[in-house]
Amino acid sequence: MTRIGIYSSAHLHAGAYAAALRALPGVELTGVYDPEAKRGKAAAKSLGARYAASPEQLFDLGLDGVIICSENVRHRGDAERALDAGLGVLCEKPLATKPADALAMVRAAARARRPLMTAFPCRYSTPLREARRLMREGALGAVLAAQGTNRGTNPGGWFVDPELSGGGAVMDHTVHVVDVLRWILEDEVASVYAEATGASGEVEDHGLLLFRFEQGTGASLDCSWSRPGQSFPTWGDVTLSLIGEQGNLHIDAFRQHAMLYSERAKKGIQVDFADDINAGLIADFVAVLREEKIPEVDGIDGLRAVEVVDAAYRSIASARAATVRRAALGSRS
Amino acid sequence: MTPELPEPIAPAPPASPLAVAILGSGRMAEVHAAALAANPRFGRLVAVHGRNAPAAKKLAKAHGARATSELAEVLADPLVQAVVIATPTLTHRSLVQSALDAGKHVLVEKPLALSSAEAGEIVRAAEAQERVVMVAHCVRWFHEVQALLGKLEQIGRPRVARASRVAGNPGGWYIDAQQSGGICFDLMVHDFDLLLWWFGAVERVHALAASRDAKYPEMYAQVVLRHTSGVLSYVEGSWLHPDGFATRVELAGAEGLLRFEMPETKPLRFVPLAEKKAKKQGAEIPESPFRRSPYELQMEAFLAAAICGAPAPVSARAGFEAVAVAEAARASIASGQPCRPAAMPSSPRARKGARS
Repeated sequence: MTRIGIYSSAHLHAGAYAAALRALPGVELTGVYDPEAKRGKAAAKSLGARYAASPEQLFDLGLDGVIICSENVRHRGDAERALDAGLGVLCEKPLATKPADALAMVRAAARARRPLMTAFPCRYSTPLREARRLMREGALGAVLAAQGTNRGTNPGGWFVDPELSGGGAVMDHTVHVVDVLRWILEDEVASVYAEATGASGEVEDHGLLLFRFEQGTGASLDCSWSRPGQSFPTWGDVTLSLIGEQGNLHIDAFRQHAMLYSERAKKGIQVDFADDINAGLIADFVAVLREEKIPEVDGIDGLRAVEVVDAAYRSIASARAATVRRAALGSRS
Repeated sequence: MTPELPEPIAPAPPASPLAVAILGSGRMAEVHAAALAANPRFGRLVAVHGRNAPAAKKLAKAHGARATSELAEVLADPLVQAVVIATPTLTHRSLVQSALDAGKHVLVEKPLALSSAEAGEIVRAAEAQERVVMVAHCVRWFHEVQALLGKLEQIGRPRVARASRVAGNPGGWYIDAQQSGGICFDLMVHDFDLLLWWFGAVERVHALAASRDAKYPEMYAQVVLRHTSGVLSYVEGSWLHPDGFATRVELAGAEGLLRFEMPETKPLRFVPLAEKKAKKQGAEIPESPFRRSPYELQMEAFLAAAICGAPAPVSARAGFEAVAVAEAARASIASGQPCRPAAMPSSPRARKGARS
């Protein structure tokens, strides 16, 4: 039996991860800890797990690993506590709000000799995996340009409180497509130019980014919370167009959907039938905890994406392109 | 009447997987062989029987099975527990009968037969045996169809449905109505099956056909169905669309509308600079990437039913109903008048019950 705990239910994805855990044989969602007792008890009840009043109580449940779904700025401390307790960690994205914090997490995992995974579920998207396969087969040749979107609705709550989130749409949505591009292009981002605008509150709602990769590929990303929250048929999108020497590849990762136009809901609702990416992520985490394989996506991938976000915010502040400062690391072992 | 999602069947894997023989060596035989290979815990391909000896040999070799041109040899082999019939429709009735007589479970390609009379004989043969006879109406396992099924209740009382399935000319025996039954039997039977599954029996069928070639007068058809439940359905089938395969389904109810569209929901589009001139031969198979293909899920359902002794998820009766609608559509094309689908043969078990 593999026993997993959920460390904070601040992020909405906790519910999806719990559902994915329930569907796996030989896996138990053992406990839920949340520093906000009311939210934690409600989450534990609805997810069918025991509520733990402290991290120590959670760790005492005999866990193999935890899924950290806390607010962005808390990821580092939470992950370090779990790793030091000898647990494997799957951490919600972004891995941290500052490169120094992400680097400390990667080092804590190495010290503890426990796996640290970043929750980048796009790695488990069947269409995106197909795109990577085509790329590796050489179907496109070198990629000259890439265009990406990861648009969504404004999630509100702590996401728009910079003290907890570290930033708005640029913090929330840059990392997914940056990770997908690094994975498909097998290249690192060299520099970033970013523009952002805030429609409400203290954080930006909209961001447009231009990247230059080390090998020359120019890429763009729209990471805006630009989808209307009430009337839009789904949460948002992940799309990518690759302009290659040998051809073009267009990917819409959530294109596999039917539509339901509901008089009761008074809107159209996207009914996805794509393979469940969260289920793929969770199955991978469980296999890693069982030492059956190495993770598809680890803490270093999370760190690299945070370093790009950091450059984006430096660019926004200076209104100039910013160089990505990549921490030097030993080789992955 | 709400159709139910097929329960995911997860039997304990048998001590050794079911030994399966494929009859046929064409495109669908290849698809079924790949689907078997994707379900190694439940089944394995042991033999391929085909009239086209080189093709049968090639397919068998690719899957570590033996090829044979002797049907009797495959059916007499006590180690073969199930057969997949992927041959032209004309041969289905006698092959199903022979396989059942030899005690095998049967997965038979759609359409079940070329007439309701023949399909009725298969139903009777199937119901006289304790073996699984399943019709490969693969579209039921398509991810988009399952998505619609899961939301069907939310449109309220269903009123009118539209289904469209268009493709280029598949050529070969597919377009020879003598062998395939033409477009109503070979292509549109997919949608007839879905609509019968969702909205129940059909009492009236009216159809029109068209073609660019007088030699093959039924390359395109439009069919209107009136279900006993009061739901109306429209089905378009075409082999006159050289721009490639597309399928669209729309279900309108009192409180909402459901629809999906292929290829609009294909998540990847690759546009190579150098156009590949190689033309595809045979029936087109729509592809949208999934971890498990619909054919793999269909094969799993068949093997699981055979292993558990559960009823076939798509019975010979369902196959009969779709054939009866296709037959009525062709009769309507010929007469210009609406036709009533043939009635289901009564079950031998039910008759037995009535006598006692």
